[in-house]
Amino acid sequence: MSDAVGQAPLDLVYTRALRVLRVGFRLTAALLLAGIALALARGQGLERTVDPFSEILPALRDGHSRGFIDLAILTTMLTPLATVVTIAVTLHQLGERRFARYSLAVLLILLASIGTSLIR
Amino acid sequence: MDILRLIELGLVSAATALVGSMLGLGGGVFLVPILTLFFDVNQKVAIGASSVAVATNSILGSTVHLESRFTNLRFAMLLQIATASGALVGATVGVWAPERPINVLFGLVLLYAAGSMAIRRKSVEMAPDTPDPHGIKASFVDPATKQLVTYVPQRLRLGLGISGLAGALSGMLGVGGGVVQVPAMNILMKVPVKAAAGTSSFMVGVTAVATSFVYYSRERIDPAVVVPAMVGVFVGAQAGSRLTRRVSANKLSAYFVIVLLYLSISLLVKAAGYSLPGQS
Repeated sequence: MSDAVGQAPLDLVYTRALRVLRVGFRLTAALLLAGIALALARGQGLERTVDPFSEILPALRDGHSRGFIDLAILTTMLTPLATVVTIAVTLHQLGERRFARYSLAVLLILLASIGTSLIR
Repeated sequence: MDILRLIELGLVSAATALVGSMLGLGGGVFLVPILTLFFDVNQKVAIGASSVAVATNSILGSTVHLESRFTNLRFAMLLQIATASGALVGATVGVWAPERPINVLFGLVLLYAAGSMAIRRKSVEMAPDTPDPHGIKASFVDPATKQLVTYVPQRLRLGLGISGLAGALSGMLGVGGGVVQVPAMNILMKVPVKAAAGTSSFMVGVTAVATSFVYYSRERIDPAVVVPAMVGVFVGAQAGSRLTRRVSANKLSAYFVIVLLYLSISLLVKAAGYSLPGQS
C-alpha cells in the first residue's frame, strides 16, 4: 500500500474513522440490548416518540427502558457526526487544511440540522 | 404496539437490509414503501425510521469499505458538502410536504432505481498521468485481481450537483442517496464501482444525520418502528455480506427490478387515490 498515491499519511484518518465507527456501533448495540431487555423484564412497551434531549437522562436515572432506547437511537444518529469530527481533526493535524475545511463545512451543516431538533 | 407486529417489522427490515446490501441499493428504497403500503405506517414516520436505519446500515457497511480503502475520504468530504446541504433542505421540505407528491416522487425514484440496476456498471481505466487538480486521486487494491487501481474522479461540478440532488432525495424520501450517487460516480465521474459503492456507503450515513434530526425535531422518530428496523438492519446487513459471496448479484438484480417496478406502480397508484389489492 506504500506505493499507493498519497495513501500512507492518510492511513491515520482511516484508522481513526474506523475506531469511531466501531465504538459507535458497539455503544448503540449495548444501549439497544439494555433497553429491549429492560422493556421485556418490566413489561414496558416501546414509546411512540423519542423524548426531547432534556428528558433522556432522567429516564436513564429512573432505569426506564425508554431512556436506553432513546439514547441508542441518538447514538446511531450521532456516530457519523463523530466520524466527521475525527476526520476533520486528523486531516488538520496531517496538514491537509483544504480537506479539513471541507469536513468542517459538513460538520456545520450537520450541526444546523441538530439545531432544528432543539426547537421542539 | 404488540410483539407480533414488532417481529414482523424486524423481519421486513432484515430482509430489506439483506437485499439492499447484496444489490448495493441500500434498504431504504424498499423499506419506506413496504412500511407505508403494507403496514399502514405514517409516511413521515416511515421516512424517519428509514433514515435511522440507513445510518445504522452505513455504520456497519462502511467499516468494511474503509478497511479495504474503497472509500475515498477526501472525495467523500468534498461531495458531502453538497449532499448534506441537499439533505437538510430536502428533509425540511419533506417533513412538511403532503403525502401525495412524496409518493409520486418516490415512485419515480423507484423507476429510476429499476432502470439503473439494468445498466451494466462500467470498468474504469485511467491513464497514469491523469491530472488531479482537486487532490482527490485515490487508489485501492482490488481483491478480485490483486491489482492496485488508481483513479481520479472527473467532472467534479456535475458530481457536486448530483450529490446535492441525492441529498435532497435522501432528506425527502428517507433513502440513502446511493441509488443516485453510485451510478453517477461510476458512469459520469469515472470512479471504479467498488470505490463508488464504498464512498457512497460512508456518505449515506453522514447524510442520514442531516435527515434524521429534522424528523426528530418534528417528533417523527417512532421507537416502535425504529427499534425493529435497527435490529433488522443489524441482522440483515451481516447476512447480506455473507450471502453476497455465494449468490449471483446479477440474477438477484433481475428479480428485484420486478419488485422495484411493483413498488413504484403501487406508490403511483396510491398517489392517485387508489390502492392495489392487499395494500393500505
